[in-house]
Amino acid sequence: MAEVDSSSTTTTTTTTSTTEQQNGLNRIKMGDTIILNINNGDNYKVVKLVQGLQSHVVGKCKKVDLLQLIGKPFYSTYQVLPNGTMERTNQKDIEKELTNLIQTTIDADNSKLTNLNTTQKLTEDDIAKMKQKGSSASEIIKALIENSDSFHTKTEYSQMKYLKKKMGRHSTVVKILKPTSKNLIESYYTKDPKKICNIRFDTLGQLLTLGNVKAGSNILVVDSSMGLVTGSVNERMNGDGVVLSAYLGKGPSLSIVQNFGFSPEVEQCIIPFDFSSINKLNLKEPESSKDLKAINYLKQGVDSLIIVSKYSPLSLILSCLPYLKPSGSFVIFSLYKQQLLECNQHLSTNKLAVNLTINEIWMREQQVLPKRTHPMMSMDGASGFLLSGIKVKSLTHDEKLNKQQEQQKPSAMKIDQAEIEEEEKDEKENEKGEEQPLKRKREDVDGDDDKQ
Amino acid sequence: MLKSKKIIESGDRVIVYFSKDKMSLIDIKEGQVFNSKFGSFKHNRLIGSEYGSKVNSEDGKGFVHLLHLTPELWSCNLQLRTQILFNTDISTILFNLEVKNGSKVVESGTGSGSLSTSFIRTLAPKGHLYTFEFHEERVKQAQRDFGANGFTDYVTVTHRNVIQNGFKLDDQQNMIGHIDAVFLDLPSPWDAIDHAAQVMREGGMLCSFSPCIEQVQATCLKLDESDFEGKRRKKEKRKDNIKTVEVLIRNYDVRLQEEEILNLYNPYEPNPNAIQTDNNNTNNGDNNNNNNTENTSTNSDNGSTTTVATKQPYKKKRWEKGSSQPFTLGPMEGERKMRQLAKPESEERGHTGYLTFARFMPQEK
Repeated sequence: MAEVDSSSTTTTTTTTSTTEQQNGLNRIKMGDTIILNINNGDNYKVVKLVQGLQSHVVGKCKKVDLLQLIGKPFYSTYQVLPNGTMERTNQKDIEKELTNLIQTTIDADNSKLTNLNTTQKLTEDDIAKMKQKGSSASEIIKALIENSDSFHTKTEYSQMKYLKKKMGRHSTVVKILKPTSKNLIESYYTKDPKKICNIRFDTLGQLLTLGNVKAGSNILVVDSSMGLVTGSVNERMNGDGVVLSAYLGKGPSLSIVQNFGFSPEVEQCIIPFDFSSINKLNLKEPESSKDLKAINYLKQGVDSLIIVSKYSPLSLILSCLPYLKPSGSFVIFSLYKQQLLECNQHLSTNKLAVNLTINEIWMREQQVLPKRTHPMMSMDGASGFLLSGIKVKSLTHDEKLNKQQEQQKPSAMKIDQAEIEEEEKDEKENEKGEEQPLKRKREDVDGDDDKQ
Repeated sequence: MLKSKKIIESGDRVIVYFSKDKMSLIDIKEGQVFNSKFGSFKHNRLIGSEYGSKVNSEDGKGFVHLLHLTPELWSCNLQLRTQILFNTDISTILFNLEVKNGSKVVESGTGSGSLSTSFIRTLAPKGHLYTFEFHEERVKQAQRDFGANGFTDYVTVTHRNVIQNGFKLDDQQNMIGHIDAVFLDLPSPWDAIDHAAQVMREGGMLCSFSPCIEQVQATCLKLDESDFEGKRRKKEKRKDNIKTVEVLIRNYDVRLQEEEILNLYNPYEPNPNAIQTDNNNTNNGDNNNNNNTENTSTNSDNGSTTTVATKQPYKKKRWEKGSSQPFTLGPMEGERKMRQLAKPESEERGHTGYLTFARFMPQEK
């Protein structure tokens, strides 16, 4: 019981210390990174608030000083006025304003709708003039309705749809998002999914749980998602653990990590290093001093391995696997099932891993409205594929000893064994030089004996 | 479950893994024996083994692998008391609730503790899970499980009907206004939303899991009336700012399957010799035709990899060896070979539930 008591006091102390932080947690401070979600649409903007920040173009407004947001809460919504000031509003107020404009007509239906552009009497020039005078969006929309012949003949739903469309065109509503993994993936996935390896939010979520990401772990991440995966792993561990982020190419490309706005203590958990160091390690080449820290962690072994890369995953997983501790989880993302099948085949045949699973996710969003609930008309069908598994040691202690004896004096009884060995020789002869030592090293680290 | 160890000791909880659908959770204790279809294993022999290692049974019946317990393996091995959530839903919930080390999370109900375990893995050691369950026996079992898994410091299990009594705990005053995420798996989640709002911090996330769409509708209406908002849709800019999704997993059954290929004449290939009977051949159309198929297949049968290797840049792998067998079908000839093929599992879940997400943003006063 005494143990339980002491533990409960420790919990309370940690809670009080986080309480102070929590009060300011949702407020925007100088130095924070914010995501602007403009008009609820495809348009996202990531901005870091620094002293002397230049004014930004936000939607229709050319000059908006974003520093006026300091002290405001994250996830608040603003109407951007033509003069560049931001007025706090919320979605519900906007809805209310629009609802007031609806003219309910009994018996309205869409039977008289035409595709001609003659129903609107207001011209582009008129609207431009109104904007110059500084009319608000709702004033413009009011004018549009007054000059429309067909508006009042539409159904209520159609009217609302029309208003929302016009609202989006003539006003700028901005929501300020916090740069969390969830919001960052949303903004990058909508803007340019290629940049982040086409990884979708639900797949990233799977990746983090299947990779058993938890505080206190050392995790090896092979990342070609501009740092999104590295950052998400680091966000979960929140300063407790090590993320070894291997980059492929000239230098680390972790620009998204900067956008997470980690504190220095949390950010220092990420150790970027050149993937070729792993290759050099496998080849037993002299170590470069540059990545010594990462190499030391690798030699100790990592708890989990996550691979999100545009390169074919087989060679990557094989070169990383020696550094994953036995019973450690690994997960590989690929857009293509075939690449993962290849990995699965290699890992299962060579008995390097168990619980191998290839899966994909089917995700569908629902529109939920009274009497109008249905799945969304368009859905994203490409979640990509995940191969997950647990690394094991392929031989028991006894088998290892037996194998050593067999190798010393191969008997006629052991044809299979001899054959396998012979084939391995052939394989090695056929292989290119770079793969050969890699394989040897893998067995070294696993603790299995070299077959030669 | 939270610490990773190298060597198995007495008192550890270990997964004994035979295959994907056959594994057991055992508590290692000196002097005990674990008996199964795959043989018997003395615990004394398991103690001192490395995690991830392979162990043969005493009676030579088979072998197993010894694995660390993870929340994912726990979900597959726990004693079911209720319908539980599995990894696909769990991952989506954790990600959208933005749970991380340090988060304070409220969950109701606890059920069998499958989701709770994942919550704790992710929020420990700096965070805390407050989980509520109205069924007393489940509360006790959950407490036992959390204790055995080493979670005591990170979780508070409370026996309570939250619809009536809410989430406030008398001895945890500082949880009010500081809860980062709330998860509801209740028959009437809409009745718990006001309670949730009382403990949540500004900008916190709420998730409700419901199997029925009617429940989702009522929940969304209630959320919309309360101080919750979500992301409005790209195309449908209607009064709907709360996100509801369903996620289903599609697992692939990957097997080494026998594939039968008939050596037929290909009328579309200008070179009549160029029928590929061997997958390994990618660029050598002159290798096989109907006349010399027998030769090639015997080659690979004998394992004379050297001759094959000179012709083929692709190297023979161990699992392909000897797998190519000639066969006849009436007057036709063909080849039988093993290949890894994948198909979706025939038995899959068609539906688990709808996940509704919303963010708590109280109006400025």
